[in-house]
Amino acid sequence: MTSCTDFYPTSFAGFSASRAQGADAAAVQSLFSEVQDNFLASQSLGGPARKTLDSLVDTFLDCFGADWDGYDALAVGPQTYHNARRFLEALTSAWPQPSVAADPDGEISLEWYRGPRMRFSVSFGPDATVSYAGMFGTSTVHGTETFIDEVPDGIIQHLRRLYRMPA
Amino acid sequence: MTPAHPVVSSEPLARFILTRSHINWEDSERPRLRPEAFMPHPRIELSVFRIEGLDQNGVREIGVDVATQRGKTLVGRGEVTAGSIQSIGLRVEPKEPPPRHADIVGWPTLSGTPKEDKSRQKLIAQQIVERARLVIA
Repeated sequence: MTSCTDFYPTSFAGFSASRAQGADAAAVQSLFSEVQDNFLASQSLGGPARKTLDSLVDTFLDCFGADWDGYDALAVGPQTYHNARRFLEALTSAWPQPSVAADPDGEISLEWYRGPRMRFSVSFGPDATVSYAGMFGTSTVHGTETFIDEVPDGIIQHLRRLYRMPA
Repeated sequence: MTPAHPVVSSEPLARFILTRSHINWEDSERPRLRPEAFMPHPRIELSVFRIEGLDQNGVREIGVDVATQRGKTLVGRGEVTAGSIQSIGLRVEPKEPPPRHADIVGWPTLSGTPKEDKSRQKLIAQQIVERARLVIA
């Protein structure tokens, strides 16, 4: 598989059907089908949420192969993509949309950026443990939470702090 | 300057960026470095180049070499002084060859509780980005 580092699809028109067969090919085909469905579904969402889901799809496709960053980064796997997507779907529209990126360990990172020294990010891997880090002026935080179905309270508290919303 | 000399705090360092994913392009007029560009995984050190005394073309030439050797295209670089790195508890150690190469070391290791260690790495990467300047190739 080649890295997609310089390829930024926002639709799937550029993908031709593969004739590959076997379990791996079927799994990849299923995954891409699901990603495509998710992409199309996102078209019906509001602007910011739609853009974020589009960005998640793009990030996944960009980083689906190993060494996507030129420094031996690990590939972003399907379960990691699923977990980040579920988190975005669980996040209420009350919060600004984060930007999406991949970490060199193959996790997907969502970052909320308000300005210099005002940022917070959450990273998703293939399991339920998420790690986070943030800067709130001169204060900093980092740690882990467990994400199953609902956005963890600890993450919400940090977002409130970032956007200076009452608890 | 002899590049292999000990690093001084005023020295500028460059982290070459070989993927567009490490830059936030949401504001096309003011793209921003992402912290992920300064995370060391899968190694325990972050590869940078010492660019003291080089003009823009000279720095870019090194970046193109790095990218070519890795089969990538140079997208840009993050520039930060060694003093900024040292101020957040990391060290910059010369490591040649190639010429002018150095490693940023002293990162939290990914050992006992990897996710906790990763969160510390991410925070450090955020702190570096706050002190760094993006130069698009």
